[in-house]
Amino acid sequence: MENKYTTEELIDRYINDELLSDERAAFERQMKDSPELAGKVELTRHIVNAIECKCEREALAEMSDIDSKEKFQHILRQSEQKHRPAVRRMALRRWILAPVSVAAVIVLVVVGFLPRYSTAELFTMSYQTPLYESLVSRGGIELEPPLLELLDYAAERYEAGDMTAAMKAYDKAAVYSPELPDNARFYRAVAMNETGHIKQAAEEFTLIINDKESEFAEDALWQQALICLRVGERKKAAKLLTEIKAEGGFYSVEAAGLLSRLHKKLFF
Amino acid sequence: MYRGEFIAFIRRNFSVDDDEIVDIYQESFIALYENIRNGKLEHLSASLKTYLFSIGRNKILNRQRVSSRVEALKNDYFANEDDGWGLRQEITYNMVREMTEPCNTVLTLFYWERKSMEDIAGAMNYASAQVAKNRKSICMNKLRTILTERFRTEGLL
Repeated sequence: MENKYTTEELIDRYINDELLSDERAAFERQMKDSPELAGKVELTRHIVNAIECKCEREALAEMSDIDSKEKFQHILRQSEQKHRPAVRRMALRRWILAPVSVAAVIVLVVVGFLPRYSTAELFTMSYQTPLYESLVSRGGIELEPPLLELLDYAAERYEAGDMTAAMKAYDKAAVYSPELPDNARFYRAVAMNETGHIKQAAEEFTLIINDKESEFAEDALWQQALICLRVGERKKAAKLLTEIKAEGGFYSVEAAGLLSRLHKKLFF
Repeated sequence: MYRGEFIAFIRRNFSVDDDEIVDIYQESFIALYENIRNGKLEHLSASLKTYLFSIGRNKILNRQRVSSRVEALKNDYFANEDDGWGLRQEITYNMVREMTEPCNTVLTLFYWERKSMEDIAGAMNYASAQVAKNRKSICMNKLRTILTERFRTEGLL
């Protein structure tokens, strides 16, 4: 049976009692066979309980600050409104059958040739934040302490997932020294992309791709293809993915798979 | 706060229609607020969740006493609840309080506010829900690693 959830999702669903009974039984069997998994579940429970406790105390403090019952009731009622489903009405009309049938066939044919996946869907399916790897930059360039500190801080923030801080640190480093090390240029561009500075990210990746000595050219090309998907440039994405596939490098298999989905039609 | 779980708990253990459950939730929350304002929660030994749920249970039992229909709880939430504030939980609580960004926000949005990954991606200005999912996974793995080390240091593993 194909797993529809990742291990992390299964753990969350298990501790929230959201698994169906057969899913729950299967997961408990897995835990019995794997002390590592069971340990992970236990640690997750502790962490979730602690987060709830911390937030409860904050909520308690907030509630203590509401100085009247009427005000509290008002807040509660407003909050409840968000959970009420909107009333929807379906209006039905009668159509004359023949023209509707013809129109339906035409629409079906036209729609059938539409792409199966939108570029946004393909981007969502394929994008993952590149893990930070502290590779030795080419040339063994000696970095001055202020620049080194900025880059170390940027890397630390990147690894922590704080892309805004990472990007700002890389930007400062770039002001200090326009010739940033290879890896810094790449991760700076990733941070730009992740914080919504897509155009700047694309420009940076282009520079890296065109730098024949860059160790990150292949990675930058892959990221560029994903950016094209993100902004809806289907044809440009296809062109880049074809290039990546043809090069037979690290991303060639992924590029081939993505190309296949890019060209897949809805029905035909 | 705990709205979804409260409703699921009442639905599982009592025969009450959904509109009534929402009313009971609101009444329980107001009672909780009044107890806070009256200083009755200064020495709370149980979690706030347990307290809120027990208020809800008592309200339903009071209502059902009138119709002399007392339902046995199929799954006694309170019997299984361990409110002991053990050393492990204390260590975990202190670790969670020290959480830095973005893990603090991402995990609070996910586990406390029960936001979807799409909502978290929007709130954190991430490229996609998958990025939010990856970030959450990285944060949890980091926390589990730190927690394992701290438990080991305390001789709890």
